[in-house]
Amino acid sequence: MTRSAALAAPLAALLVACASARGESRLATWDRPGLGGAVRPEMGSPRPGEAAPGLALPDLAGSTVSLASMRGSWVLLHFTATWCPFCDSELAHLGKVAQAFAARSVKTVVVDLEEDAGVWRAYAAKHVDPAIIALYDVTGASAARFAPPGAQPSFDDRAQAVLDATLIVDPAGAIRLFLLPDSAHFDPTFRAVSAELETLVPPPTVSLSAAPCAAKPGGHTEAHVQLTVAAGFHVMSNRPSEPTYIPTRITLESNAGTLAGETQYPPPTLFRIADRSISTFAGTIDVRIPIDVAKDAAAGSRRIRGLLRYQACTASRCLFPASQPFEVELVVASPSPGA
Amino acid sequence: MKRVTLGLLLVLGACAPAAPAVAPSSPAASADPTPATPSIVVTEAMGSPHVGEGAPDFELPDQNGKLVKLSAARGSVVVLAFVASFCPFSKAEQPYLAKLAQDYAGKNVKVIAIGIDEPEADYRAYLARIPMGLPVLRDEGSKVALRFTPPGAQPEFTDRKMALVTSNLVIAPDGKIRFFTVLDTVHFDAKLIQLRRALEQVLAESPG
Repeated sequence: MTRSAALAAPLAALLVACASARGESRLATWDRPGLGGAVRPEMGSPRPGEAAPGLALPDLAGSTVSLASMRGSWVLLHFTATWCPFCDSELAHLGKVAQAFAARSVKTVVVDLEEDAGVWRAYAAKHVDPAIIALYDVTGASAARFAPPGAQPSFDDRAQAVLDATLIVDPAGAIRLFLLPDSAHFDPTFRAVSAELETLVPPPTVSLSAAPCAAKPGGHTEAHVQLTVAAGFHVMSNRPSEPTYIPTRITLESNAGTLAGETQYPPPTLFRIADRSISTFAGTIDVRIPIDVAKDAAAGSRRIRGLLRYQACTASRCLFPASQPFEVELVVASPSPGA
Repeated sequence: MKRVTLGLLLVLGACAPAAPAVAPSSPAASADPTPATPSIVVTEAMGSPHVGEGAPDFELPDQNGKLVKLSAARGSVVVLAFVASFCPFSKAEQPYLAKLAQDYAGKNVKVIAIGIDEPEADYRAYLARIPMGLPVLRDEGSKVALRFTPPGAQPEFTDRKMALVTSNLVIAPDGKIRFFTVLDTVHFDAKLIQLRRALEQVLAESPG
């Protein structure tokens, strides 16, 4: 009994230790398991947290593209070379990462190091996805500024010290992740980088897409609007359970030639909180808004403005109510000849 | 009582890091930050050839056109380094490889470099960089390099011989591989400290 009690204290201490080890996001990138190639602060500048050095290099069309011009966006920056087998294995996967995060305004940039422009252009045409901004640094002078002195100190050619390195630069221009290649844990799929981007640039809580619609003058159509609520969140339904809750409202403006009708919402999802259920929407829902087109409506394409209003919550907290404008394209057909 | 101990073990198990533990460095070498054991050793798990197996024999020309045959070095310790002129890691190792050959000249050690996949001009450029007092063999078509590439080394590389660039081996007088590493970019050992330790060990075991 006494011995059991004596063991209980270290057991509790271990449990606490485990809990903090699991909270990986609180650890600096260079101390995190799974990020073996992370640049450590003792390697010198530029370190994670510091401003990324400037970079202005030609793209495949010959125009100069600078990192400074990308302020306001997240940037995924990767250094490559056509002869480097690690780089080569990674490029196909980098295209997929670039495509996946382009919708969240992440710009993906690769910089080829110290190669003939012709060699790079021919290689890039085959191996670099169009979703990637492909630059090249013939002299390596720009890339060398990215190399912390402690990274591969045995390399005289400092640009090569960042070959195959991957950085995430935030909208303010600061380095948030800086990984050098780790051949012992080589993962060409950028799993660790994608996970980091997923945390730094999470998907929007609520997003909306509207399909184009078409009608004849004097006819009728429906706008199809799809609302996607991020995992773990819900929004109140159009008929909330409490009068103080913010209902989800999707409305379209009526303009000259078009009259928007009453929005048709799907049945709500019941969300359980403590001992009761509230009326919400979660996941992806389809909403329809009828549109009547006037007989004298001008033929051609027009954009009808709409507005989404909602309040998103998780099981434990709510975000501020928010509004989001959107547009629906309506194509009014030409009146049929003879009509 | 037993149940508590079991619980403790379970918690310890849950805490164990997912990544393999770093090999402990010997206390004697505390001034030298290089880990005692390299982290990417070619073992049986990577396939053949690996540490403990006989090295595949080969015969290739050196920079003077003289043919060098591995099996002719039986009775000596052989250091075999796979190099490439384009690889920055290989470039960083090059002076230390030349120094190694110099330091072990006159001892029962043969240091041999093999250039992987090198057009003639690149092979010559590698040789021109610094004086290399050791045979640097030209492996046209990378036939020898491919025979030395273990299937499990960097399996993502479609160009298989690339997995062997900057690999270093120590081959004992009986022709068995005693040390075989592939490139570790994070714990890069440009000075060949780990290779020298292995070489000393093999020499100590085989007097003469």
